[in-house]
Amino acid sequence: MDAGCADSQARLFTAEPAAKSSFGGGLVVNELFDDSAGAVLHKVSPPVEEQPAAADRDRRLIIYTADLHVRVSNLDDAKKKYLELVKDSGGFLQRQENQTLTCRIPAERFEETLAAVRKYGAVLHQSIEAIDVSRQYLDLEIRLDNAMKSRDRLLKLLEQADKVADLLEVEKELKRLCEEIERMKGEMRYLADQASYSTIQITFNGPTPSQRPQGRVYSRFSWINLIGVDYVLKNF
Amino acid sequence: MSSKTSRPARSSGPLFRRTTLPVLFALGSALIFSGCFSMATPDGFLTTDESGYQIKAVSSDSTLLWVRIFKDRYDGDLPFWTDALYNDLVEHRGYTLKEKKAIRAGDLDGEEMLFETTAAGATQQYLVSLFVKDGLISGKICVVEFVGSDEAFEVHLEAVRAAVKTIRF
Repeated sequence: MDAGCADSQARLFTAEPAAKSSFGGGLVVNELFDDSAGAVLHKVSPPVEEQPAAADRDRRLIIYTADLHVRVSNLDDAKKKYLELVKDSGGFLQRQENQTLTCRIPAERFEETLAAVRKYGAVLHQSIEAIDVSRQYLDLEIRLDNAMKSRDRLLKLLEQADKVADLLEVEKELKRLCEEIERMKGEMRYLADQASYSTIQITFNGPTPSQRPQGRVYSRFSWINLIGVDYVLKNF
Repeated sequence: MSSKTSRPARSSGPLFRRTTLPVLFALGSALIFSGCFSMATPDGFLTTDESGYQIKAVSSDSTLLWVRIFKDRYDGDLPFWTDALYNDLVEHRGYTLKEKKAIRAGDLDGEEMLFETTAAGATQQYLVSLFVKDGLISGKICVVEFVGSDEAFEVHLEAVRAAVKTIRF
């Protein structure tokens, strides 16, 4: 009856301030325990009223996203290098469309990954967004707690019910509550996932048509014609 | 050669003009272009050529370092030559500028530009440093070029930058 709502099959998450991250208010979600693939319970902190103001700031759950356009001289090399960087950072490729790659990176590696990508070439555009979902998460947590207490009360009522009509009514309410609990857990899981893994979307641009060599135009300054990678490689 | 130049000229006749003047000119040129040209070899590099007007060094993983002195017959200044080189590399050769900054070697001001380009079918990183100096007859441009593939380039970059600071010309 309470399938899908079992507390014993809960995955427990705790969230704590990202000590090593330069994003002071960020949270790192650590998976502490997982004994099933069933229901998921996120535990961010004790109830709000017990928290001092400073600690409240430390419990922020922030979702970081970045969008970069980088001009590089070799698109294939840049994409290959970036995917290796993502892999080394513990991230993964979420989507690739032409020269645009969307990757998920562990939040604590967000800044260093961006710094590394900026060195690939000239940054043409950059936007970084931080969305604070702490309040939303906390609200869900309180609602989830209340729903679970209601469910426990209904379970007790179910044991005491004698009439079939009462049984049916309690079961109906239990079913609704279980669905509500699962929906809230899913939403909390989504928020925690979004916060623990930042999203970086990068569009690589090749040299512009005006930059692309179309038959070498030689400089009027003779020494400049003796400078450059091609000249060095051929004449060293 | 020095005995010829130190010997007092016996006359200002045709023989003096035919022999002593060209020798003096050659000596003067040599002084101008090679007299004080030096740079410390970066850690991890082997110098393969150190003639009067250039230094070539190579690392075991095949990055190349080439330092040359060019005669500046137009007497341009550092900003002019930096712009001219930037324009040629970016506009005409498709290089991508990754970083540009002012540098110093002793009391000389210079500019450093870091580019990425594709050459010989591979991505190449290219560091070029420029120094410009007035001369007796004409100005001089000192160009330091450092070329390598991604990983090898990164390994030696700081050693090369440190060596560039020791340039004297």
